Amino acid sequence: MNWIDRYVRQIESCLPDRARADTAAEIRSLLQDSVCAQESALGRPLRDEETFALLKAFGHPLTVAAAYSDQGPLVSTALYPIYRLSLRYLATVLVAAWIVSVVGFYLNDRQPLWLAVGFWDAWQLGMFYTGVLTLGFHLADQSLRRYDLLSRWDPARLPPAAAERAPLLDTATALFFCLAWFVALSQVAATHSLDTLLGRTDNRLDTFVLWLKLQVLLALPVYVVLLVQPHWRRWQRALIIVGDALAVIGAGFALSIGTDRFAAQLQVLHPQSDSVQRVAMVSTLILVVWIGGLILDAANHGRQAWSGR
Amino acid sequence: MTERLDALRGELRRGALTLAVLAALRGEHYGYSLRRQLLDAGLDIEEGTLYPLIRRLETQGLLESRWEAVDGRNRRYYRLSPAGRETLAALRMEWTQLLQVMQRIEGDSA
Repeated sequence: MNWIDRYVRQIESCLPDRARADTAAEIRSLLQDSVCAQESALGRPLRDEETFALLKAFGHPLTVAAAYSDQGPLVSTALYPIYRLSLRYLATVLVAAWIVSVVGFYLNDRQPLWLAVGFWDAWQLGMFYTGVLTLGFHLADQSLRRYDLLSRWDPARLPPAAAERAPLLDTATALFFCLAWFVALSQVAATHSLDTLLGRTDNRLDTFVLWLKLQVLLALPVYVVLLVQPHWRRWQRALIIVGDALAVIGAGFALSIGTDRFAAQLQVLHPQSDSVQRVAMVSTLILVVWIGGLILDAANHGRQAWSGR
Repeated sequence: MTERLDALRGELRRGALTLAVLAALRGEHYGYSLRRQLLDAGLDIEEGTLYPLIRRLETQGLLESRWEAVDGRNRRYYRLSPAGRETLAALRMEWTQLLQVMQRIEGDSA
């Protein structure tokens, strides 16, 4: 096999299937023309080093194959900054989770927690999620190109210049507390029923917890999106306000269970306790204060949304 | 400085490359002969740039090609397609306007 055949074979292996044979035949023909021209100029066959120089001038097989291929990169330059940012977040979350898992392993009598403790297992997990993320971005990229979505962007939807830029640490902290809050709420064995939701079970705690869970479920996507796009948008503030409103409604339903009814329910649940009346009173106070806080939070988000921030 | 100049020169020439190739392919050429013609005219284009460009222009329907057996091996010949002729005419007009604009800009700043 001569050098040109080797070279073309190398390029051929990197070409897309549908144009492989045709492109390889053309490259071979072009190279043979160059060789013929040089040989007739020199009056003798090319030496190996002269053929090498010719091939080097033509380009590395990978470069040549790329030039003949119409395939784009896995993730285009348009999406690459977001892709890189997402990879950074993924790495941060995985490393943090792994450290927590390792610490938990030693604090928990060497019982493995939810994430693989071994470094190799964690590495494999990281590679898996990196692959999933890359595939997701690749598919998103294909869709963007196929439907020409980037050219359909609407300048009217640009975030305002004075938009409150959500600091990464704040967003990450809020997201962490949302998740922790949801886990904590899930520890309360409240029955997921319409009766509980509407305060017909005489248990303030159960009713309030269900509404709080709804609030957290609305807040979570807001903070996840804020991680990637650190600008508050109106829909995000609207979701927070709706969440606050739901929590206020929940507190209202909880308050509709009168203090005496709640105290009676507590007495049934804890017959030995002699402080149920006081607990019921304190819960009324907490709920009222909570409602105040929720209204203030909703008003703050409403004001910011109104002023275009 | 030289590297930067080379990069800028390459960028400038790349814009005119398609026009030059289309203009040269009013007559039929195979890859190597096209390169020679452009070289003789003073336009030295790397093979790695020129040949893929011809293929792209053909994929876009601006060129037509045919294989022909020459001296016991195959050679691919290219020439302008009707769509290529229209495109060449439009690009020429654009090129002339660009030259005029450049002359005006040069004249204004002189």
